[in-house]
Amino acid sequence: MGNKSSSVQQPLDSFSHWNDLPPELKSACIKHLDFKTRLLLRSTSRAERALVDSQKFNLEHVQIKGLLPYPVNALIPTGFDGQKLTIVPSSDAKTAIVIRIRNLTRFFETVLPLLVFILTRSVINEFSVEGVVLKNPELLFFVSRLGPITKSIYMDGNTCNKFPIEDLINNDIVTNARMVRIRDLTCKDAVWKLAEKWIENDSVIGTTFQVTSVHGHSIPHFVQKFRDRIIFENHEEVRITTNNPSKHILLKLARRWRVSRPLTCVVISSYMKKEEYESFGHWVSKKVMPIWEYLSFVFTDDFHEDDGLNCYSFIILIFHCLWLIITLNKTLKVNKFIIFLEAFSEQIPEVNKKDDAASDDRNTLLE
Amino acid sequence: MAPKKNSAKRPQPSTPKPSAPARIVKVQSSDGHILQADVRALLLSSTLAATIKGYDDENKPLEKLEVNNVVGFTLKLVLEWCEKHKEDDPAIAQAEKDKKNIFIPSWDRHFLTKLPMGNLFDLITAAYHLDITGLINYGCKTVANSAKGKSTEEMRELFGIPEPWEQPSTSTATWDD
Repeated sequence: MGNKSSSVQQPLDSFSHWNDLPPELKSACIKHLDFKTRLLLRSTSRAERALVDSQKFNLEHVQIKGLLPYPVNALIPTGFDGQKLTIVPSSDAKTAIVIRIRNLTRFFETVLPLLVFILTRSVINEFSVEGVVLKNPELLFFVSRLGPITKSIYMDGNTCNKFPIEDLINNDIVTNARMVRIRDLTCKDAVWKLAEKWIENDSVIGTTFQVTSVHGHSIPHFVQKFRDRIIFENHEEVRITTNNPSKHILLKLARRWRVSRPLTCVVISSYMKKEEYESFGHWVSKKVMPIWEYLSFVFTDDFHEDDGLNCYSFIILIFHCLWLIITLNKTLKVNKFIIFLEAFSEQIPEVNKKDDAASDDRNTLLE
Repeated sequence: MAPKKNSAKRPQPSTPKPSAPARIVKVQSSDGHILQADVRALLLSSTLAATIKGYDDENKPLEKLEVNNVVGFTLKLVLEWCEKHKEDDPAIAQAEKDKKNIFIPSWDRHFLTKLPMGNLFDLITAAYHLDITGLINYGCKTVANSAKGKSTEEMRELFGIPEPWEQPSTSTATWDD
């Protein structure tokens, strides 16, 4: 009905362009863009870049991961010249964008600006850095740029003594995250220090810290620190009170492996019963098993089903490593190769030292 | 896009009200074209609704509404859209305003995607001036959908964004600052 009273022709001079739209409408259009299109529109002009940058957007998961799979990357840690950046904009995994970085030039020219854009303009639900040796200030560079809404942060300590755990624990984004997981952490005091922050901040129930380490001193240190708060204690579990009567903190040995001690520390309800937290160790799988666990089979003959791996796992790992050595790109540093070989010639303690030395030259990477 | 999934979440339009006799008014575009429209359709525009309310409050006879910032061709499209949606609950459009993922019904999708990009820009600009939330939502979503999968160059061409050397700024930097 209606508009039939006159025949209206399209005027020749009414053809609008994007640049004719009011900024509010442009922003309304950008709001509906997916991550990739947003990124491409951003590079069309300065005005569009400013408009895109004026809006926050959500990303489900951002992961910086060494090109080598875990746990091989614990022996051959990669820097920024051998990693892949995975961006999952939504819960649909098909939308994932994977960028492989094989040299530093590409990292600095393409990936670093992209990372800065992502970290400053997006709200990231899950952030993870794995298999890349990042030290202060590199790791803090990423973590400090995460928004306060970030729920999960996954990091890799790589048994590196210079992992900036102290700075991370003092960072509000880390202490407020619902889930923090650090793999292969050497620091013995990280658990109680983070728990202390949780008590101070009255963190919500469910706040979790998962950590794998190569020593078993975390529980005794935790007990010693919170001696006056202890409700229950044995060699695998410690439950303490917090300042809030409705909340307790539970530290639980998630699994007893040969050398490593994966732990779960979680804020629980004070009404929670022991049976309810039996499942808290289920996050521990072969995927988080440190290389030392594999290597421990070199020095022993007895394998138990309970170990979660057997001699075949070790043989598979050896073949996997050999395949990686053959297929590794030309940028593989010779010193990393030597580190790898030395580890197999029973000089495991040396690895950490060389590890640190090899990555010293990356200290100023982001400065 | 997953229309079926989203459609389940989308608030359903309220049941159509018993049809009152249509009240037709004339609407004049900026280039002098006179069109006719049902008042219920015009009420989707907050701007026109305020004008109509002003007439009704003063008991003045409403003979012709002047829309000075929209040309006839675009106004015809606006009125066609409003006519189709005159039974809709305005709360739906308001609820969708801040959502990123909105579902565009098939009639609207067909109506908006058949338009050349220039006309679509004209249409959403008109919707913006007339403050028609639903049309702005669907129009902007259609623009965003049309850009999906395009390269930077294709996007420049589609949207008529000038090349960097044609832009006022002398810098062509996009990443590095």
